[in-house]
Amino acid sequence: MAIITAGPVLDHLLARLRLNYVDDALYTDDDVLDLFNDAYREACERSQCLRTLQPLTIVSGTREYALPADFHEVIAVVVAAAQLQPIPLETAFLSATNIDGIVPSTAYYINGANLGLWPPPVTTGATGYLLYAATPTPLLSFADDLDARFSIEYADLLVHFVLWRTQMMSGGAERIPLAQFHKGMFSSRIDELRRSTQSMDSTAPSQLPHVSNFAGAAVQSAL
Amino acid sequence: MSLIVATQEQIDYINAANKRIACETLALETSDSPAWTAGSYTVAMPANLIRYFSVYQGTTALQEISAVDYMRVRTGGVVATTKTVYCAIGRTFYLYPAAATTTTITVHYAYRPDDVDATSTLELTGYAERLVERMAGAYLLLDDGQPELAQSELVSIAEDAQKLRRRHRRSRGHGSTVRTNKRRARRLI
Repeated sequence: MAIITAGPVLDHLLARLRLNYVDDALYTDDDVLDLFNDAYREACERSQCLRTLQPLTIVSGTREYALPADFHEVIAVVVAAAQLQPIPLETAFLSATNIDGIVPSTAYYINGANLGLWPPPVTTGATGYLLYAATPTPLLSFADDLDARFSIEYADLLVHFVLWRTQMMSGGAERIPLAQFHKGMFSSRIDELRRSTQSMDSTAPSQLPHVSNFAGAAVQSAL
Repeated sequence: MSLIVATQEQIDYINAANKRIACETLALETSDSPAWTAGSYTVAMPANLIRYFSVYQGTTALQEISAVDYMRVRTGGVVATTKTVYCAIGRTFYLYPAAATTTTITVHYAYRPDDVDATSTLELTGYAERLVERMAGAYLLLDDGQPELAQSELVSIAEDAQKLRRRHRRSRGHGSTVRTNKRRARRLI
């Protein structure tokens, strides 16, 4: 007799939903996969678990740089050792030129699918980094693997999302407590995933107070 | 203890519960020494890593910094330390400075157990093994239309896993004074 081995995670979650009153006469496998994708995307985006570090090569006079295709949200932008602060798009456009002609960029903004630097850079070759939270590649089947950065231990949150949504779609006030229970479980598992992702909070005070903005200091001395 | 299971469904429940308890208790620890290629700033984390405790190069503990500090250092910031520093982003360790020659780093970490099959013996033992059994039971209650009971059991398991995790940390000497002194001693040598 063949040894029974563990099956794909998503297959198991689908089987659990079929046991758990998600009737296949009401919700086909494709419907469930759509709901899984909604849950997966929401969990990845809210927890910022898909973190990616992207290098930026700065070009003099070029204000905007294309964001990666899987970009969801900025976590931090650093150029020439200085962490840039976010500013609204309108603020960036109100003062679009680098008035002093030499001031290093101090802020960033998002303009559609581009990351903008403000004031515009005046040197070429400076290096920068964009740390961002990515959005996941959609799941195409129940045999797909989840992104390696999404800890598989949190896959059960997909089940809670589907149960929450299907309860709400079914209608009837008597379903409210159960729907709320699953919604709460979904949210609390995302919070746990978020905490597990942040080994060291990127917004925490610097652990290296002696890191100096060397490039910035050089510019200041030139002035 | 060997598993007593008869169906795919049972294996899948135990497999999910086994991984989740390993993650919540961090009870399974190991070390690995991935290669750090000359000129490279990155080392991929071991595939089964859940949480790392420390990173060494030889007998020297590397200093962890935030991702923002790492980005500042890589883009021209001057760091007044001779130590190698690192941060973790996604499934990658980012180190600075780059390795002069190809070497290895040693990562001490909690790991995720392999998938189980019908012939497996769980790596988690004792109390943690019982938590696996309870977790699989809680999933079954949930899927049997008994969310109140399942929720009560899940909360109870989370508390017990937390206690086990703290006890495990103490028993392994994580954060103890003795360990700190040993580290100091190593530095003096």
